[in-house]
Amino acid sequence: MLEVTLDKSKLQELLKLLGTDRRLVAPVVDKLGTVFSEITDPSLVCLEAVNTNLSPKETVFPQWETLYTFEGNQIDKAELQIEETVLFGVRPCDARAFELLDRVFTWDGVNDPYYLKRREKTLVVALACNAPGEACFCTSVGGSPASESGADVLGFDLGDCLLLRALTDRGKTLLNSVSSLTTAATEEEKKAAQNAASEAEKLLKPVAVPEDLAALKESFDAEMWKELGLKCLGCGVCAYACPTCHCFDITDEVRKGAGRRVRSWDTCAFSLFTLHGSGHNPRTTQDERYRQRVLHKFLYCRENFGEAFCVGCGRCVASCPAGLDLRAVLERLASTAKVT
Amino acid sequence: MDPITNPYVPYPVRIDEVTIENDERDLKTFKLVFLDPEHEKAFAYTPGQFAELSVLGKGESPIGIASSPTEEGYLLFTVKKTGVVTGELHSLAEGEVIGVRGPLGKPYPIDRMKGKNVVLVGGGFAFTTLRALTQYMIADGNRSEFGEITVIYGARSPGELLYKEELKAWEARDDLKTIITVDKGDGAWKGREGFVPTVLEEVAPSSKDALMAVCGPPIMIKFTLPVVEKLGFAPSDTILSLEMRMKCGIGKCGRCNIGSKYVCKDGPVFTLEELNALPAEF
Repeated sequence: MLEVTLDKSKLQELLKLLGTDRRLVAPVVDKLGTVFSEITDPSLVCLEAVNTNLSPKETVFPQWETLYTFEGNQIDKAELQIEETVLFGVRPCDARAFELLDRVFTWDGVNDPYYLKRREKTLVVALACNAPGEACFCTSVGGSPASESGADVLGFDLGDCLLLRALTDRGKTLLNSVSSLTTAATEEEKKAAQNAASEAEKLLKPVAVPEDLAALKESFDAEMWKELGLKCLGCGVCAYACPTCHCFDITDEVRKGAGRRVRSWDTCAFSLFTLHGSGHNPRTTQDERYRQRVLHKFLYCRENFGEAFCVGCGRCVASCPAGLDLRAVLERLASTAKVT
Repeated sequence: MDPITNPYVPYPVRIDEVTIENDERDLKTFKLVFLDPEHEKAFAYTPGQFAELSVLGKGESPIGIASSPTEEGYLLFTVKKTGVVTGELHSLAEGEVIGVRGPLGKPYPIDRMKGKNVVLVGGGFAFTTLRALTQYMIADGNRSEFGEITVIYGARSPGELLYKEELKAWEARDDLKTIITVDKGDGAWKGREGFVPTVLEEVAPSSKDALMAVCGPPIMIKFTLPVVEKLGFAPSDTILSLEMRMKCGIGKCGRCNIGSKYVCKDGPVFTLEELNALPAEF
């Protein structure tokens, strides 16, 4: 396993080198908080924030992207061009989300060329968490502050330096390409990284996640959804902030005969999401829509992919304007086989 | 952007013929011809599947394929004028080019139907994929693979029946039992009157060695299923086709998700047994 150490005084240089001939995307502080953004000035990169406001999923699954352009009824033949990208400073929960999204976008052998091309062109450099955020619960949903899933390189913040561990072949190639800035990690540093990870794990408050799928299925008719639906505003911020939510819309835009077919994020929280042309809507109330989001993640995805589509980043908890706390909902669902 | 390798890119097709199906003039059947023979070859389908009809600049609509693969050289889609895309489709003339993305979804279980009696019950304009299935079963070389075939089809009024000329041809065949009914006839109507569930009960096809497929508006389904059960058809032998709002059609966009199923890829054809196991969100 290739493990190297980078003195933090050389971080700017490293970022500059990584951004040569490639797009570099990393967290920066902007007016509204910390967000992943394309970096032109490495001095703006902020690695202190635990969770950015929006997850980095937009690097591989943009909030808005052109599927193809057309003129009249002719579709432009040009193939999709995606730049090589390094996504730097991704928290392990968000990196793990990529691994979950991979399953949807390759499900049943039907490959989504847009997602897969971006994923293929994106190197993920994750950064383990030393101190989890207030709403974090990764360990309760199968993750950890130093989870290796979905990343090519995993970094550990050891105070004065970063320990960088290659997890994949292309991660190894990446680290080799910056070897002029790094030194081989010492046993002491490796131990320190391990300690930091296990200390962080101790700080996480466990959340009881319902394990009994049959009981979850029964919760479909529970009264609690009505109460939760009354609170839910249907604003969709939870889905937009979520690193694993992946529902989308496809719409056409035209101007002067030329246009594009676009896909953009969408969510089951919106009332129009399931509205039929006939006027029929299978989910007319917000409690049905809120329930759909929770059960899709914790029941249907487990039935289909063997894992819940939640990495415990806590963004939905932190961003909900109505104060709905997914952790409390999960606790309620788990506390009794028959939820009322 | 190659439609053979990119599942979001439609195949270009030419509108070869447009048939107005009903008195209300809001149901048209589009006969579509592929511009590229390679695309036609790639579009290998089975009755019960659907496709996204694409009008660039307007969008896409998921529509059941009304033709059978035994009808070579073209595809048929019967479209009701409802929204932006279908409204635009209805304004298009023969010769114009649109897109077809598919085939999508799981078809009728034709292999299970082989060697069995088959009862098809349709209502209104949901009859389209049952038309495809009927054409498939009665096509040369296929008919002997199936037992007795009974088709019960109803519409609000005589003018609202789809495929009127074809229905006459079916009625004239002795290897196909065709029962056409309308809720209410007009002066010229000499055929049967009555709602589909009532007619099904009167015809009373045997459930022995038989499969039943039902397609129709929700209200018809609601009153037909108890009759189907009374006739002795097991939920696993009762087949339905669902409608759901869709976008991608390939199990990614999440819109048609019900329980752990996606109507676009696990359906639209389901057995009643499968539907009974799903939450009632359709």
